[in-house]
Amino acid sequence: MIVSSQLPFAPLALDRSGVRHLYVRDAAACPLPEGCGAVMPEVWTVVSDATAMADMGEGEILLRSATALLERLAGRLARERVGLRLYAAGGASFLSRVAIVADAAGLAVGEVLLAPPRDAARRVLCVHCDTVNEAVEGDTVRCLGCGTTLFVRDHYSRGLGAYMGVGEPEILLQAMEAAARHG
Amino acid sequence: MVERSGYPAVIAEVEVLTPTLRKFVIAAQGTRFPAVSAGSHVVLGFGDASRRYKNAYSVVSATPDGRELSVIVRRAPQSRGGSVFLHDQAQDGTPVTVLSSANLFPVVKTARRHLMLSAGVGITPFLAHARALEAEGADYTLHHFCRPEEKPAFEALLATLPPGRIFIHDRPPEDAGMKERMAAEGIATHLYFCGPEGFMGWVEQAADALGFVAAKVHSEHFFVPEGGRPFTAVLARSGERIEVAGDETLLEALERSGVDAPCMCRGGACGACALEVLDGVPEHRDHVLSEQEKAEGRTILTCVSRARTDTLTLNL
Amino acid sequence: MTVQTSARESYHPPYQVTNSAETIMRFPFPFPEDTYMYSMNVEPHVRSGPVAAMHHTFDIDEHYVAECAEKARILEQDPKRCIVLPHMREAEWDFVEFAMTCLSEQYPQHFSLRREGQDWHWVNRLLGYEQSFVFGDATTLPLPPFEYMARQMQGDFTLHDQREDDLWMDGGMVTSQADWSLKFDLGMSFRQWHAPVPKAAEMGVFDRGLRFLLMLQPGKPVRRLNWTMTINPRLDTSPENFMVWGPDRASVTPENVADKVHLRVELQTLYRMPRSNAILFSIRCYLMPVRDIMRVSKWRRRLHRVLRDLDPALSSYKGLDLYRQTVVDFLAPYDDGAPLSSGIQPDADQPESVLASVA
Repeated sequence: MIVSSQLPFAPLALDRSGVRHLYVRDAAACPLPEGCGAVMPEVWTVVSDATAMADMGEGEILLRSATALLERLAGRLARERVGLRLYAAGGASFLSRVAIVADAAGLAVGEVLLAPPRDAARRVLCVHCDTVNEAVEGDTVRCLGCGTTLFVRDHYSRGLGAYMGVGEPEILLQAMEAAARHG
Repeated sequence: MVERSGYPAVIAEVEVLTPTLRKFVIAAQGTRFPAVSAGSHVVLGFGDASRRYKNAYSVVSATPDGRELSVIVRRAPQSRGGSVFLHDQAQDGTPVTVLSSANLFPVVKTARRHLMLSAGVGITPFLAHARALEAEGADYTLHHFCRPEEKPAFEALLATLPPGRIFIHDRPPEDAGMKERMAAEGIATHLYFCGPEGFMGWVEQAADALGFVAAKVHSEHFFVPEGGRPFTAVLARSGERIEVAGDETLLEALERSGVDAPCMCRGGACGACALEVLDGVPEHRDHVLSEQEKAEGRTILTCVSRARTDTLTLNL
Repeated sequence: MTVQTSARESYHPPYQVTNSAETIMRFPFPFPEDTYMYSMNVEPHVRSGPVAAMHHTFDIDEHYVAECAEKARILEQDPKRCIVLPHMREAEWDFVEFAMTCLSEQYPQHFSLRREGQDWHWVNRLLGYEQSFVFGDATTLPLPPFEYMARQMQGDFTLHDQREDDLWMDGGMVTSQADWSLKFDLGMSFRQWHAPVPKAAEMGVFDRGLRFLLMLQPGKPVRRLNWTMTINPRLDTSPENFMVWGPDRASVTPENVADKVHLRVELQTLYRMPRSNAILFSIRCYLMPVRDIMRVSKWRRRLHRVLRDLDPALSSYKGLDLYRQTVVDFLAPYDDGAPLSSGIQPDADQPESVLASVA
């Protein structure tokens, strides 16, 4: 048993126990789930284009932004009936937000399937001042709210959609360094 | 706090619901009963000089002051005799002991909507759930399935709940259009069901076909342990040999011998009573162990399962 | 146990906390053996045990008033230390009933409860509170029910909903924690909120622990001890305030080690709540400076052995690396290596005088 608070990412494969399938992605480069063919999911794609119209073209709905897609998703899930499987692929931040929308709509384990994120840009919550720092690439970030250099802990809150960021007092960093030198 | 000896009580009222179902109101003598959450069962101790029983029953209602609680008991003539005793001999004033309580069938509190399906005596946990959900203003629907001649009895039992939420069918679920009703449920709905095995199988299949995920499907297999061939339990650590009679469970035999064996549901549903088998072949009757675990035969749930061999050696 | 009725003590700078001889002897010392490894170590929470801190459902000691004052101060600074999700409403009332019943029955000199149907009357003589209210009607209390009662108790409390064969942390009041955050962990499952603990996962401790807790029955509570170390008598060692208290870890010297370094023990008790089917997790924190532990010969020798041989991964996780060796060096001269009895009991009636007290 892997103990982790991470989202349960796994390569996408069509789940035949579902009776309807919806696939959302934040870029057209994300491949369809394995096993698509006879059964095709409805596909929603973010195209980052202000002229895109959200209607069915080429069997696919194009959305202008991730935010537009997530708003539309919330509306759809509120009316959805039992049997849907929701698949999502894209960046880590997009997947975090999809999970929040799906959880709010009452979807459960087995109804939401998330592909491994295609980037490492994480959302990081500063535990000291509650500021969410977006698109953090490395293991540290200077908090936009309180200026603390946050170390990103491998501890993720699905509800907040963010990793925990905690500062390290300067004197401890120095003492640790000194100990490492002498140790 | 539940004392080891339990809460002394008496039967205060017996109501005949159908020829096979009776409702027993149990009144605390002295200490108040603890509060019980909807979906809980209590283990009742009762009997006479010749035979003591410890059986688990769903609590259908309890008064807020902890003075009374009610259970419904189906007369199960092929079982070990507890329900027959209650039906044939229990009356106002018959002493019983509330030994413990636990909830193995709660509703999911975060669910937006609850769809509950029951058949026969499987109604019991839902009587408590429906009242609790009604009190908190939650969204739910209960469909109950019974034989035509029983319908008036269940209508009376459910009369205080709003008619828009309660449906009583005197046809099987297939004929009552239940599958179509299930298919029309919103994606946030959680499904709960309880009833005889055939009914359970039908609901499981229908839910599966409609794409309900396991996390939203909740069932309680009500299960009265039946007797079987007598056998001998050998306790490996003490060397003690305990005879298990044909009309008692292994758990009951252990308890009769003063062994402090673990247990909770007494119906093969929770796994709390699992013991390690060192020798002999168990006859599994529970709903907890996987097929692989059953085949391996290293673990036995003492509350329902028995032995295929003359002796069964337990790591106890 | 004599309880001080005024808050002369201070759990934040300038620190001012002293332990009486009785408080030292009733301390739940966490090491039954000379070595330590993370384990479930769960036993029934019956009203007896090797030390007096275990003799009540909820232990009230001489620091009660000061700890409640500290809790109120922290909640004033950071209201997110108390959060309860809406579906835990019944669990809130479970907690009110359970806490008021236990305290009034076990400490009648300090607390009383009168119940007439749903009309309840609560008196807390230590804090000077008196409250009539209707049980189940939150509008009749000055604060939400869980918050109202948890403010009147030492230690932290969390409420856990049971669903999907897991336990979800859906409420709590957390002001004396060992480096974890309620606002961050709120809504997490048992496995998710334990994810940061090293070693234990690979040992299968959490899977076994979870299976056990899912079957916890009403009226059959369990307890376990957990421990870490804290510099200064500081209850609030939260990640929220790590930038404030973290530097203390670099302040330990051979001269101040006995007074600065505290063994921090959590007496954790778990209860199945009858109305809600939720689990109440009570985390009662005890802080004991090395100077006071020194006064029990078994405890000072065993603490030395445990810290000396501690697994480096656990030492890092608990944040002991900067000062563990200083504590070990300080204790070493007082450990003759003689065999010690197994168990946590002090094997003495009174504390000894080992170190001259500081001026």
